[in-house]
Amino acid sequence: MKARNTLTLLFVFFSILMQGCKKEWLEIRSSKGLVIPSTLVDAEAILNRTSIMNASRASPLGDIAAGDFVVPPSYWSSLVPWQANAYLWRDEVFIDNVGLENWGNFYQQIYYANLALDILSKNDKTTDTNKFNNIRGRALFFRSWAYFQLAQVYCMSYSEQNKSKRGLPLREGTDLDVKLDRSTLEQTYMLVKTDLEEAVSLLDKNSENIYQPNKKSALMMLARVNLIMQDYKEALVHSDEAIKIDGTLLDYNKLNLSLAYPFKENNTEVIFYASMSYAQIISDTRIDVNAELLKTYEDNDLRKKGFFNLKNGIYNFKGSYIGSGVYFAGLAKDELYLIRSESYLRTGDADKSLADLNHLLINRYSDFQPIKDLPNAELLKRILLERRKELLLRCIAWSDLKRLNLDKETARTITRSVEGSTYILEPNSERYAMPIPKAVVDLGKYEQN
Amino acid sequence: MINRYCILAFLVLITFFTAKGQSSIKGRVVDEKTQKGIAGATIKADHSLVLAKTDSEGAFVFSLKTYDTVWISSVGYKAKKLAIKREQKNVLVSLMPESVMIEEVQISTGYYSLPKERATGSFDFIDRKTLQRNTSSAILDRLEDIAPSLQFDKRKIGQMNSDNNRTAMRLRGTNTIYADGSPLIILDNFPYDGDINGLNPNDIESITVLKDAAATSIWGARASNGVIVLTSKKGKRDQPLTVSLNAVNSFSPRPDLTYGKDFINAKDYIDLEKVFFEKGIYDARYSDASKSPLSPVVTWLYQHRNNKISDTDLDQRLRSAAQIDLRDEAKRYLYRSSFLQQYNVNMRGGSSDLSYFFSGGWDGQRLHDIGNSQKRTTFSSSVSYYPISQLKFDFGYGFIANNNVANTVDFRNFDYLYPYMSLKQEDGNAPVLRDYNLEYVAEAPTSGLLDWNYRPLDELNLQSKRSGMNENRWSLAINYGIVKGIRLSLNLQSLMASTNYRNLEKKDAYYVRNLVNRYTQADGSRVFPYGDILSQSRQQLTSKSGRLQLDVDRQFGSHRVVFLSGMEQREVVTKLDDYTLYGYNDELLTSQMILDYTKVYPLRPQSSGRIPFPMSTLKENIDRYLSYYANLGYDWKSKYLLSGSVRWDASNLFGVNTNQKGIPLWSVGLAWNMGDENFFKNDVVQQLKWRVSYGKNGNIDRSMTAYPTVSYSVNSSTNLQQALVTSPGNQNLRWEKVATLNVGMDFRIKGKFRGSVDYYRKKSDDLIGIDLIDPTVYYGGSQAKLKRNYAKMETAGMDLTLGYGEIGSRIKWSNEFWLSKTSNRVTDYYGDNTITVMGYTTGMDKRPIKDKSLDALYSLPWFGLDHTTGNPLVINDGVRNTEYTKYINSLSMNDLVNHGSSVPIWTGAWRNNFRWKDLTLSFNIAFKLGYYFRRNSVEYSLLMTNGKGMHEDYLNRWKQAGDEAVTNVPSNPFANIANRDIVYTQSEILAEKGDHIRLRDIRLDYSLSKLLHNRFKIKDLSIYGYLNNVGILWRKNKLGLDPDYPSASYYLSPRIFSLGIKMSY
Repeated sequence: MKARNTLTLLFVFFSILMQGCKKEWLEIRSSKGLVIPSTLVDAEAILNRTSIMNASRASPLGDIAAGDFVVPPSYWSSLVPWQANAYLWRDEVFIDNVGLENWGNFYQQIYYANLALDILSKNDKTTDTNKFNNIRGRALFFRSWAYFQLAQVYCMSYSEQNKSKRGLPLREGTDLDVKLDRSTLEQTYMLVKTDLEEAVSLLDKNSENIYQPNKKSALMMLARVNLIMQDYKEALVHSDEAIKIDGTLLDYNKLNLSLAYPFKENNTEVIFYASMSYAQIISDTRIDVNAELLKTYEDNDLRKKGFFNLKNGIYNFKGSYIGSGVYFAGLAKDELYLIRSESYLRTGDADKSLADLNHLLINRYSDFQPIKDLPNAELLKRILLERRKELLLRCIAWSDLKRLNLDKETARTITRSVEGSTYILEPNSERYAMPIPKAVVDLGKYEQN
Repeated sequence: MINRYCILAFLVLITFFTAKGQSSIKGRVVDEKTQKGIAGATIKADHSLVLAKTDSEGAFVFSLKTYDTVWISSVGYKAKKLAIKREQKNVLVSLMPESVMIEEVQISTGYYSLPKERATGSFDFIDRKTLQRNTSSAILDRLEDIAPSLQFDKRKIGQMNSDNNRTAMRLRGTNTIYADGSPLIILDNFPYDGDINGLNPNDIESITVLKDAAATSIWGARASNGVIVLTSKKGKRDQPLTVSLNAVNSFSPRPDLTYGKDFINAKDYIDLEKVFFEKGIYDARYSDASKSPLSPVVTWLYQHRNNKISDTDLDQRLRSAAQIDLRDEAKRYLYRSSFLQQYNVNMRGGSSDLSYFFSGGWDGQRLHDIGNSQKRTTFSSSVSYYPISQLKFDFGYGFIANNNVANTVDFRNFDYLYPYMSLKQEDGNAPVLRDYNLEYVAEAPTSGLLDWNYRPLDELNLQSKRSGMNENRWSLAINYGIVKGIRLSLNLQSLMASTNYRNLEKKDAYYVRNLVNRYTQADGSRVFPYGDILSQSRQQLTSKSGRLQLDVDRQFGSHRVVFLSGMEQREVVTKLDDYTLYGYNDELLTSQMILDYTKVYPLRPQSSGRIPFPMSTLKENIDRYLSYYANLGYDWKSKYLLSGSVRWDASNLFGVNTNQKGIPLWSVGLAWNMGDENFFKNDVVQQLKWRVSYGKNGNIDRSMTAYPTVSYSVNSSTNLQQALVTSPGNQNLRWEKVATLNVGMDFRIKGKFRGSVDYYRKKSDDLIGIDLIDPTVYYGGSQAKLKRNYAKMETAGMDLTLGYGEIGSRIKWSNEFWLSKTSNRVTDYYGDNTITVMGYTTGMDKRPIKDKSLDALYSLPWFGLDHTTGNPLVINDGVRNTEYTKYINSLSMNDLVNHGSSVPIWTGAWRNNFRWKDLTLSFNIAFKLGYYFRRNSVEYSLLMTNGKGMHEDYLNRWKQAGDEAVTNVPSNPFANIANRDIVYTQSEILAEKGDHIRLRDIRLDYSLSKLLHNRFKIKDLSIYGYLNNVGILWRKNKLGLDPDYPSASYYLSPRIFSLGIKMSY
């Protein structure tokens, strides 16, 4: 009897010890020298890493495939395989590990954003609610930004019929031993939308610099996503709201367009800074802009002078909003007017649509005669043409192509000729979703496009 | 002081228990085994007063006065305490012979101890006697060639510029790639966090080596490399006070600097330099802006060419230089014979409710390198107190104080070498070449600079590099028997060690003068303070461990159950801080630190730079471990044994996921004492035990973190703080797992011939390796790779031990033999595409390749020398030519030659003991077989730049057409040809077989005990001589290289002669 009592006592003693100090005691970090990010300051600093989140990270694949330029055959054969292949929409784009950054860069942004969100989830919201909200908003923006860009390259265009088609592997934490599968297109776009909607509600109107997303960027991004999803009502609401905060445009008439790079990095139109990673095939000194497209820039269109540089019979591109040979891939207000204009038209308000278009063009042309009395179909065509002209090499042309292909009226068949062969890309072809890099498919066991 | 008080206290206790009375006692002392009378046994009242001695039949008689307890002792028997009542006749005292007691081997795992007979696992036990054979002052050194299957990997020792000059230990091979592969070392109950070689070997009673899963798995996540348990000496109850003294002096002659063949004699070297000079190889460096160093001979040749010195002058200089041999100079001025003194005294004893052990030691060592010495003072104590029979308190305290001086100048580390370097000249210590050419250095004083010469022998006194280590250990254990067979124990241990390094460069040390001169401005102003430079660092380690354990040991008829379970918590905190002071004044303790570290100054002889900012570092690490464990032993009639153990570990090194999952590490073991079965019992085979065990252990790679880590910087575009993720961490970081299967057999034939055979196979899983990772999950830029738990490897081998007890009548011979085999194979590894193929041949770093041994030695194939030029040949597109770079770039893994393991596959030793009367001779022969090493040879590109790359092979080089038939040493190219050296030095012809047999040591003991028996109250007195590293008996290589140190410049394993005396009373 006594023994049993003692044993019971012992058992209780052991149990107490076991429960006592387990969790917190083990959670101390093992090395003070290493910074294990855990505070709001850390989360903010992670998102401040512009070389990961903003600069030279966007994939040039879309613009390579959209092909508003020509590549001479001799040059084509000297290209890195993935660029040469993407230009011809081949079934195999990536050879070995080369070009992996076209996938990895985005998922690195997603990892950073997720890491920041992880840190926030372990921090108290109430100590500095405003700061907390802003950091969370930024992280959500960056995450949806990366997913949206990825979806433009590796997924089919969003539509009712395509909803259940293959989307992206959605990564929402920082756990390294996670097994991911491809989601549906709908799931992918829903994540992008809900993240952005929350970001809009959290972010301040202004941020310290153009590298940090703010409410304007989130609104505009939401407008862009809805436009691509052909939800013009929503696109209108958000673009309108964004313009109401700040809709100032650059007047090209007031710029010295003969400069080597006429646009400054931090010009008034830029809402959010992002730039494309370098690709030899479209580098600013080698690119030869499509003659057919060039023709659409009228003589009094200031963009002709501001965007292009005729050298040795080749039209190089100098119109980047970065103000250098690095291509701008961020958000700017010119696109905002184009989104609102198209959305007005598609939701039945042609007058307001025209007003927006004129407002933009008056800042783009010299001696501009405002457009009047254009039939709706013609107006749409004009808006879409202006989109193509204005947003050249801004990581948007490929998305537009895909979206507009869904409607027979606006669909385009594009062709290439290299080394005597002609390549044709039919509207809504499966090849509009580019193959995922082979290394990714092999390691992650994903379904290939 | 503490000792004295404790002894005093003890004596008080003894007197307290004594009673009064007087009567006559008669009796007999017999051997417990044979029941024969013991002659000459003493009956003492305490350790001093002899009351009586037994006669030839073992009978005694004495009259009792005030004593009620007496001690009865005899040489070769365990002493016994006897309680005396009044008027006793025919008292029979039986003494247990010590030889029988040694048979009872009590192995200890750090959690429990048990007789070896009842163990199901694979253990090796090394008793005190075997440990004391070797006189090394470091405990682990004493295990070399003694402990079966324990290998000392010396591949990295003695290599020039080797950053890791440490012997790595491997127990039963290796089963990890990137984590630490050395066994876990336990001192008594807890992992030892201090410097194990600081322990005084005289304080260690025995060592148990735990090898298989059944033995080690109680140590869980840190046990996969095996465990070595050191059991310290303790007092025993009911034992008279014994005082032991041990003094040893060891001596080792000056090191043999001619051992390394990396030398060319001065005459040949001067001729070589002359030719290089003629070919214009030095022209670019001569008179360049950075004042590149050129050897004295080359300098004279230029001076001669520029008519600064005459023909005869040059001739004379060259002739005298040719007489010098740097090795002679170094041997004379930089090295000396080493001398080690070790003194130790300890006291042990105990009464019925108290036992104690106190030990103090002092070691002093003068090392081979002039300027280096070590001193160590140790103290350790343990006191056990039994206030009531069920309760036991153990207190332990120990300290170690170490003081090391390391002012040596190692000529092998000189930046420039030439064989005619002299260290002394008529007017004092000679300058040698260092950073700048000799003419530039000579001009220094005339241009207002400090003397810019580097004189190695001056430096011995101009620097003071000292380190001091203090370690304090406390332990407390409470052990309470709740009911019969059930005990509860609490163990607490704390260890604090602090190490201080103090490095003082006096103002006249070259280091300081060089800085001052470099920063002296054109106007002669000194930007860098001309004063001492002091660097200090302090490292502090605090470890605290606690354990609560429940032990059950119950016998139910033929069934016996031994169960234990407990929890353990450990915390190890290490702190480091260091700083550097410029312009330090040791007298006034002032420094000059207010300098402009941002300004860029012009430097001498060229370029510009800032004053190096005196770095200070602060580091703090906290490691925490939490473990629960249980162990069950069951046996039926001691014939069928079953054991099982589980352990669950959590640590702040692991990620949350691992800590929460809690998959325990475990083992099971079975043993069958077939020798005890009725159907088997016979007189020949007295013991036959079969064992099998299986289980899983772990290992931890402490360089990895569970959590993401970032580094901060300021963004140049935004001016904001930004963070870069340096490691994504690994929430699932977990211990490496090793599953071990062990099948073994122990036997004893005719009482004297005993042995064991073990076969084991270890499968390692979740090893840290460089893995490819889906960029979707993590992308660190350009490559999709990450270190994580995924690699696998297999290690298999066997251990054989044989022993033969004493045979022979006059000369008694006994011996111990062991043989171990181990080999490994990486079974899952994706490979690291960032390592070039050449990376697998160079260096000693791990280069895991799937399906190959981790220790494989890879070489480039050898295609011979060119007939007309003596250039080494390579193959490009099937044609032999000399396009080295093209060849190197086109190499694939399949082109490499895999010789085999670079670590011995077979190791073993044969220890012999001869006893004749009071004289004992023992020697140990050790062997290592089945492995390869790569030797050094001449490297021309280094010869041309800094004089390193010297090798005697130079003399056997290809000189003329036809030589390629007799030599493989390439010709002198007289030009620096890219990759020419590497195709030779990394080629298969320089790989040698490492097999060798070595006479490890000889020891001679002479016991004076019988001579002195009962005189001077001395129990035991012996003197001994010991010779360590006797020499190699046989080696496979024909070059006289010791395969343990193939690339050492001087022989690192010189003979050590020791003479010692041991006494106890």
